[in-house]
Amino acid sequence: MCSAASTNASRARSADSLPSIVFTELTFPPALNTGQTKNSCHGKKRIFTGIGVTESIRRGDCLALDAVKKLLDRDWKETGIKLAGYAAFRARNLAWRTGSTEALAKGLMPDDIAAQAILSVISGERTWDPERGPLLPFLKCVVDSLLNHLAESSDNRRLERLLDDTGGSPRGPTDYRLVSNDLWGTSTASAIDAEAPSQEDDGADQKTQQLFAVVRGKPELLEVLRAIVDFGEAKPRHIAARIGKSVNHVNNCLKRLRRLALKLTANPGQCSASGGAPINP
Amino acid sequence: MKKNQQGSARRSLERIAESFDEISPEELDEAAEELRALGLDPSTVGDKLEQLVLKSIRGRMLREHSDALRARVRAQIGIDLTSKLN
Repeated sequence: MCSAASTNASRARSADSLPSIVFTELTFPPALNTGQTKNSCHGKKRIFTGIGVTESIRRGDCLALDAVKKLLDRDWKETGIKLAGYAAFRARNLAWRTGSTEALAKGLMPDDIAAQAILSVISGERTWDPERGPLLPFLKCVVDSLLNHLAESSDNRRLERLLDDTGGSPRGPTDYRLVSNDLWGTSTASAIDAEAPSQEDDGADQKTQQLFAVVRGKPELLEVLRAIVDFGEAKPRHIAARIGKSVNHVNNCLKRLRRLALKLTANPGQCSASGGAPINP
Repeated sequence: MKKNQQGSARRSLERIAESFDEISPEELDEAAEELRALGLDPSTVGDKLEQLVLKSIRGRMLREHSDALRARVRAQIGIDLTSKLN
């Protein structure tokens, strides 16, 4: 009986299954029907034209509703996996960079971040304009923004005890400082005292050295890593230009390097800066 | 560690991390792989998000409906209904 709805996953459940609500009056400002600017839709009451809301959305009576229509037309299962996968990717990168075993603060998982991003767009808190670009890249930017916010949130802060240069004992109560687990290198403490030696510096040096150690014997990876470190290049096309290889080659090498780096975080004892058993990418 | 070495180590790490960010997953199977690496089942995640989206869109549409009704009531406030009192 309900076979059509059950077999056709997302689209069948989208517009047609939504409540059809009928209005009898039309006081819709003509400007809104043309839907030229998003501002023309915001801050004004939308009164529909004697048809159901779903029908109104199908016609795209104004830009905001047009956006809702486009939201309904998507395959949300696939979009959800891609967005949550992106959040997971960013979270794992952050975990490698900070050395933290918990990628995200507040006990959130990447799918929670993806859900927050999607909801903020649907609720209108973040305005997506279909004419300015596709939805998925916009949602990825929202995920980046949420992760930035999480990284800077107070829940993700820790007290770092500064150790003295000699024995490792704390110098006193004033030697505690609050540092953010800043994943983008703009931590509060760093800004205040950028030149003070800290565990962060040692950790950064150690991580870089470990990565160099594991790519020993893999000249193509070493070449890319050298270009990043020596020339300060991060964009694949810039790295490609430096080493005279294709962007595709650089992308593949970066993926292998990243896999190695993540393995190092998972198994820190597997390879030390001074050498050790190589890890296969 | 010398000061310039400290800065250099941090900068190098930042550049490496930035370069990793440049190769974000674009395809479905790459994204699914990232989720599996964190112990999440991609299909379950996709289903969960799909349900959430449809529920939220319904909520937004109902909100639009209620806004429209309110506007309609407000538009009728100015009508003289004294003739209806008897």
